[in-house]
Amino acid sequence: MTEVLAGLTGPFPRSEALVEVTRRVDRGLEPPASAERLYRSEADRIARREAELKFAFVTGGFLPWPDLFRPWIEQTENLDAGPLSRWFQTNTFYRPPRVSGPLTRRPRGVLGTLPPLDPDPGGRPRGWVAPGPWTFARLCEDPGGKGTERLSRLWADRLAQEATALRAGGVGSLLLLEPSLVTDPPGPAEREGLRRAYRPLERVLTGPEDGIWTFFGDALPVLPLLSRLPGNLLGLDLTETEPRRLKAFPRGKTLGLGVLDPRTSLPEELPEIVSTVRALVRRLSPSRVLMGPAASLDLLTGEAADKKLTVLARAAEVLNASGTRASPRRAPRRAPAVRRVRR
Amino acid sequence: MTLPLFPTQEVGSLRKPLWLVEGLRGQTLSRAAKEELRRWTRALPTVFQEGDLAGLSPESPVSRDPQRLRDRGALFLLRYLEAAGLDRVYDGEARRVEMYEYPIRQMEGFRFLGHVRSFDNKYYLKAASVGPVGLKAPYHVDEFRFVKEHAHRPVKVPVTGAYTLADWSWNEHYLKRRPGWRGPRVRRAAQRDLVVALARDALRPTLKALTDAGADLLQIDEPAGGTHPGETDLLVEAFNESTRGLPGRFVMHVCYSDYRSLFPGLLEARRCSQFLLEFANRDSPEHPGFEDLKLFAEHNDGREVGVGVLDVHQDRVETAPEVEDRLLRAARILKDPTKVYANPDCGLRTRSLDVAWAKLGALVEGARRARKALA
Repeated sequence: MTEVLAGLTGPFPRSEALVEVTRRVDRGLEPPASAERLYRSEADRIARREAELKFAFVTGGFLPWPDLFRPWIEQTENLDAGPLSRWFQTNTFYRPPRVSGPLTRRPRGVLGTLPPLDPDPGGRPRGWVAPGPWTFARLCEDPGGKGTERLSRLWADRLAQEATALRAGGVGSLLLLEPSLVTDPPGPAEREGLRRAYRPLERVLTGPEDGIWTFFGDALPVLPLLSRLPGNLLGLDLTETEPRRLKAFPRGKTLGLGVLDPRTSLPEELPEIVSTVRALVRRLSPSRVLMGPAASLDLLTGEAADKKLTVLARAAEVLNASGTRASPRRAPRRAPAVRRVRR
Repeated sequence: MTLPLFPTQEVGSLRKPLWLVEGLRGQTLSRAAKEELRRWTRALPTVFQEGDLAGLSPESPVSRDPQRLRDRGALFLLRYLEAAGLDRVYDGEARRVEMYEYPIRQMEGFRFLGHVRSFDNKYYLKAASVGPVGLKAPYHVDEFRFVKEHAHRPVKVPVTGAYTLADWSWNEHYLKRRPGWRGPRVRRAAQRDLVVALARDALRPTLKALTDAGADLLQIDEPAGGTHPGETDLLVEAFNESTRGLPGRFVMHVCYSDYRSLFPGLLEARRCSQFLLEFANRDSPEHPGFEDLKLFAEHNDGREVGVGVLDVHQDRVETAPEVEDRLLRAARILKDPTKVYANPDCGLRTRSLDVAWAKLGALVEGARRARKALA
C-alpha cells in the first residue's frame, strides 16, 4: 500500500490579530516585541494544528517572513533586496535578491528568523522551505552578469552551507520551492548546467520528505529534467498539471501533489481529491505520496486556508484508511536523517 | 486650461491625515494629530484659517459630523496637491477606505473574508464573489462633485478598473458553476465571466454617472493589469466594456508589471489616451527599466505616457535633477516630449504626508527643469 502523507508546503496566512499588530508596529504604535510575542504564539498554534491534522511535519507557518527570499537575504553576506516585484501571477510582492559578491552565511542563520516551536508530542520533525537554485537564479538581480548556471550553483552552495544548521535545529523535511522550473523552465542547453549546479544538494536532500516542490506551472514538459534532480520528493502543482496527463513519475521519489489551490477561497471537494490521488497512485505506483497546498496558502485568509487544511487531512485519512494501492513496484526507502523538534 | 510641457499629476491616493483618521473614529485627537494639523495649518493657510484647530476639537460640530469631517479631509488633500504645484489634481481619495474595498462595498454579490498580505506588513481586505455582480448605486459621484466645486486646477477622477476588482477578489460564484478539474482553462473562463459582469454591471454605470455629472477625464486604475500575462485581452475587454459609448477622456494606470507582456494587446484599449506606468521603482544607474518605454515607440503608438518618476515605496526623496533626467530620458525614447506626463509610480499613500510633500516638490521642480532644458 502507498502511504499518503500531508503537510504544509509554504507560508501560512497571518491571523487577523497578527495583521493588526504588525500594522501597529509599522506605525510605531506598538513595540516590535508585541509582534514577536504573537509570532511565537501563533507559530505554536499552527504547529499544534499541523500535529492535530497528523501532518508529516510541522512548520509553524513561517509567519514572520516578508517573502521567501528575505530571511536568506538577511542571513547572507553580499545579498541584498531589490525593488518590489510581483510574485508570479499573484497580487503579492517580494524583493528579489541582488548578488554583489560571494554568498556566505551570517552567524544567526535562517533558523533564527523564525521562533522556536514547542516540541510536538507526536515527535514530528520540523518542515522547512527555501528558494530552489533555479528560481533563485531566475528571479535574482544579476548586475555582475554571472549567468543562470553560476547563480544556481552559488545558491546551491549557500543552501548546502545552511543545511547543517537546519538539521541541527530539528528540520527533517527540506523542500526547495522551484516555481520557476515550471513557469520559466531551463532550455535544453541550460539543463545540464542546472544538474551540475544542483550537485552540492545531493548530500543535503537525503530525507524522505526532502526534495523539490514546483508550482504555478505545468510540470509535464520538464518532468524528465525534474526526475534527474536530487531529492527524494518531487512536488507537482495539480491545479496546473492536469492529473489525467500524468502518465509517469520517477521511481523511488515521493510523489508530491499540490492539491489545494491557494488562489481560490473555495474549499476543495473531498471526493475530488480522493479520486484524483487514488487514480494517480494506481497509475504511477509511488511508494509514498505527500499531499499539500499547490503553492503557499498565504494568498488566502487564515480561516479559508484552515478549511482547506481540514479537507487535506481528511483526504489523507480516507486514502490511508481505504488502503490506497500502488502497483507492486516499490522504491527502496532511504533512512531519513531526522531530528525531533526542539526548543 | 492649457497644460505645460511635462504636465504633473498625481496617480491616486494619499495618506489620510491623522486628524481625519482619529476624527472619523470618534477619538480625541492625539498629540501627533494635533501637531500634524498645526504644521499643515501653517503650510496651507488657504485651507485652514485661524480657529480651524479648535473647529476639530472633540466638542465641535465638525468633528462630530463624519460628513463634514470627510469634506474637510477631501478639501485638505485637494489643496495639498494644488499647493504642491501639480497641474492635475483630485482629493487624494480622502473619502475612500482604499481602492479595492471602497468600490466592492458599493456592489452586491461580494462577501469580505478577511485580510491578505500584499507585501511586507501591508494587507488588504479581500472579498469573494459569492453571487451575480450588482451595483447598489453608482459611486464616487458626490465625491467628484465636491472636488469639481472646489478645485482650482483641472481634475482627473481615479476609478478602480473591473479587471483589478476581479483579480483582487476570489472568484467563488463564477467558478462554482464549473464543476470538475478547475485547471487553467476553466479558471480563466470563470474569471472572464466575473470581469465582464463587473465592467458591464458596475463600472460602466458608475463611469456614466460620473460623466453625466461633468467628469471629463477619468483614470481607470488597473494595478493588476500585468498580473497575468495571458490575460491582456481580458484587461482590454474590461476597459472597452466599461467605457463603451461614454463621453469624456479615459486613461489607464498599470504598475509593477512586466509591460512587455501587455504588448501589443494593450493597444486595443482604443479609448485610452494615456497610460500611466510605474518606472521609478525599476530605475537603476544603468536604467534598464526605462527600456520598456521603447515598446510604445516600437509599436508606433502615439499615445501619451504618464511616466512614474517617484518611487512610492521608499522614503528617500528623489532630487529634481533625477526627475528631470527621467523625464528627458522618457521624451528621448518616445521621440516626443509632448507625450510625456510626470507622476509618481502609484498612489503616495504609502508615504507620510511630509515625505509625499517633499517628493511632489521634486516632481514639480524636476518637470520645470526638464521644460527649461528643452526650451
